[in-house]
Amino acid sequence: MKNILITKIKNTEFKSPIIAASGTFGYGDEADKFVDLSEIGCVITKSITLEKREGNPSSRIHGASAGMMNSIGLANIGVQDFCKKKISALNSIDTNFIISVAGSTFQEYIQVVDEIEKADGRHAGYEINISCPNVKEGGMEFGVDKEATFKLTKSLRSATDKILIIKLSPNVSNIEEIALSAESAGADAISAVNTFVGLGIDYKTGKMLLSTKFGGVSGPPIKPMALAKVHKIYNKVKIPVIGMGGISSFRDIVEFIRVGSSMVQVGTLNYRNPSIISTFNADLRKFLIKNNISHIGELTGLYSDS
Amino acid sequence: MTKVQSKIKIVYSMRKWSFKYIAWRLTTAYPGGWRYALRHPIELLKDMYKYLAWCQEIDRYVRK
Repeated sequence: MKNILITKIKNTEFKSPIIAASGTFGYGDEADKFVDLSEIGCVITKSITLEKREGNPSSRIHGASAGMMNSIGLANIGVQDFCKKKISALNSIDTNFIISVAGSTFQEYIQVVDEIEKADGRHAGYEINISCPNVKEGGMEFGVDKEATFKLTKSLRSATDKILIIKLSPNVSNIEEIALSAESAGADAISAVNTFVGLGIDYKTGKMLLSTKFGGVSGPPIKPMALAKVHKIYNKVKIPVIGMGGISSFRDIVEFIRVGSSMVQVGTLNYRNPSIISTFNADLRKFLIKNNISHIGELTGLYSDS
Repeated sequence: MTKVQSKIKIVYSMRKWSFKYIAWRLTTAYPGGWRYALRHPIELLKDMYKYLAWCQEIDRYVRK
């Protein structure tokens, strides 16, 4: 029963299918003193860009109907400092880690990956963020265009042999097409989905809740939409799908796996409790044992029409 | 449990958070992170209160 949760993507084994989503768990080493990282399948770092970014002005995080709305704007230390200060710390954490990469131009994505490839990291791969709704340039503009997704994925594929995951935006009419483009350009997996574009306003004052007016909505309210996007992608591509969007219990994890996810990411709930993934891991294990399921992979895509 | 008691419980649950982790959380909330927070203490206190209320909302949802 020890291997009941082990999941594989490309040649890398993950102890569990539950991943800490990018932007919700720091760079990965901040919580290692008080969270048992060995209980987490993988940590995805905050998105790294070529230059340091302060992000958008405050206010940039706000609650939204038991979920969250943010417009942080890819605040990060930049690739040089990341390689100097973070990679060695990440090399010693007790789980796999994947580096999230973002950029404003094709060249920027490639330069970031090239810089990280030169550093001595034991990272399993890269998650390419082509879906951030909170930056003026780049980000989502690649993720809404299948040609741009293909071109970027192809360039990155030739820059690394490690796992290449493309993180998609749900803010498109046909997410399956974008996923297919990423697959045909050599992606190893698809992460779906990033945040939905939203807006919050104070009904009394008329003041926008976020400084950028629009932000990305995450957390429990987006789960049904996220499940739909994951299922659509699963029906089109052959590579693994990493589902995310509003997971708040092991039951949600099982739902994402049943609609086609091979792994899942937990995001917003980490802001409530950074140890929550350990609880989900234990609950998921108990569920599988109780239902005589010998491996989590048996549930992937296992559903019946009503 | 009253709302105040549950807020105290949430704050107590954060006792193990490291300085490094708190510093990162502040960089997600504010440009400049803890420096911004120190320069805007009232905004920080208001946001902490909003955060605790958000945690209570999430907890109510997750228990369902």
